[in-house]
Amino acid sequence: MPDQPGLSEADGRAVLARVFAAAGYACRDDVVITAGGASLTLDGWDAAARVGYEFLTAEAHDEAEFTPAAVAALEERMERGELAVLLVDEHEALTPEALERAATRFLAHVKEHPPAAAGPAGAAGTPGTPARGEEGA
Amino acid sequence: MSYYTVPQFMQAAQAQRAQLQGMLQQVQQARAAHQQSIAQVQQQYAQAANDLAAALVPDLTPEAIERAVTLTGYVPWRQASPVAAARAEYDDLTRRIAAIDADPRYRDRELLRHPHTGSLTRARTELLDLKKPWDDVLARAEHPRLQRLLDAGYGTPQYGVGWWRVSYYQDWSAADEILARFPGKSFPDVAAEVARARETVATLGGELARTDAEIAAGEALERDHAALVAQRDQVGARHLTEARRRVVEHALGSDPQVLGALMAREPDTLNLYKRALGGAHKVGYLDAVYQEHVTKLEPQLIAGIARIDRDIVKYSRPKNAGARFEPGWFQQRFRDRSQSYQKHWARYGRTYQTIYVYDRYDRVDLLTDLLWWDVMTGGRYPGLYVPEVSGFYAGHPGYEYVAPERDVDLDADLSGHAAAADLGARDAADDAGGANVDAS
Repeated sequence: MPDQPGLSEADGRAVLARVFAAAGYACRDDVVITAGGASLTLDGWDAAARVGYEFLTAEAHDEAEFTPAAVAALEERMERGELAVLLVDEHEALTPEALERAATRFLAHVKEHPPAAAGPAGAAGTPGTPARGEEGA
Repeated sequence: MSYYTVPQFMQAAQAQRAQLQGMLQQVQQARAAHQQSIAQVQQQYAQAANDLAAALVPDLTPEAIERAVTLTGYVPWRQASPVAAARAEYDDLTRRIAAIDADPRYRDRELLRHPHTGSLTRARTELLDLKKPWDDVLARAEHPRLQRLLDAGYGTPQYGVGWWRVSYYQDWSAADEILARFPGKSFPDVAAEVARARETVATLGGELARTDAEIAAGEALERDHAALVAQRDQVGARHLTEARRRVVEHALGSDPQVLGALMAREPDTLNLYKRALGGAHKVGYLDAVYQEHVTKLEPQLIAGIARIDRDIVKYSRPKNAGARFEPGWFQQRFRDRSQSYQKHWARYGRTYQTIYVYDRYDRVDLLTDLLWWDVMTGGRYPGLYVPEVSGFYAGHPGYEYVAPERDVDLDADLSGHAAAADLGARDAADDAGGANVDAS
């Protein structure tokens, strides 16, 4: 299967929003969570389920926020089972179908291993405007 | 005094213009005819030169070369005979062919490279057969993500991509697609099989490349051998052609008196020499006659027509309608030029045709001071516009061509063409310049 041009930020988010919604998640757009002291704005986040997604693109200048240290902190929280965020790198050169398949499998994994809060892990934010301090330590 | 009016001027100008235009058409016809004639004469000359060459050097033997030297005085061959050169090249090629003959890669070509039974051919087939199953493994495992999966240790504890990464699921899908082509196997099984296949293909591929190189080297030797044999087969012909070219070039560039004396012992060869020498002159003369009478005339005619056209435009203007022309000027300007034109073309036709039909080369005496122009024209048509002719006259003060008595026959021949003896005499007086036709 040859590499194909990656999805745009908007197209990728649309696919993820549709798949997460179909699985019953109520994700809100552009919600801020904290990880390792850094604030990270997720493209989609269901605060109640502690499940979300982030489509990492240069187009959205995500590299400024999702630094290697911040991503490592986020991954650490996922390893601890505190939350589940599907990280999609635009360099994966995904097709919409491949992204949908990956998201579906991700959600199947989450269903089997649902995240549980460990201390103040996630918080609802205000769509379109980063929330502040909801996760506090 | 009765002056000419503008309508009279216009009428005379149009008539003169038509005359010049007609002359221009004759120029174009003459050009086409000359191109055809000169091509034919050049072909005749080439044939004559070839005939002379074949007569001078009938074959590439020491005797033939010695005879050619005697007949032409081409002394370089005394020091470097083309026979020796041909022999040396032949021997060199023979040595190179023998070296290839002795090379096992050529000598054993059937044993090594026979399409069915050659040892290298069979080895190649065996290698391909051995390699094929492993090629098939690699083809089945082929996937854009295969190397990434292998590098990441997919399916092993080494694999460390987090389940939250989309690449984790991409890897998963890619592995599923690959494993579908290896029923019943795990990804580590496939990874091990791919590693073995790669190693085997690399080993067999190396052996295959070496075998192919051996085959290619042997085939190259076969091609070299065939080329050298073909080259050797042509050595004699090539040296003979070159020898003939050189000796004819020498003969035609030498003093005809000297060559005439040398060849006197072989009248047939001498006649071929005269034909070739005369043919070369004929080509030059015809071209010179054409240039003098036709090429030079064309711009004069074009300029004359342009002048008339300017005058016609000028006197068509209303403000010039009342112009009057002085009779003396008018008559001079529009005098009848038809006789002058006819004479020009007649002179051109006679001179050209006389040279063109000349073929009595055998009657030429090379031992006298020879001006081919006079020989071909019977001395009737001065050709001072030909550099060779004017140069000859300058170098031979007091020279006067005396037609041999036997040229009575030539006169009879020429009478059938445009030339006639009395016209020739008149032409002599006119010959200050062939193209000095009045086109003013």
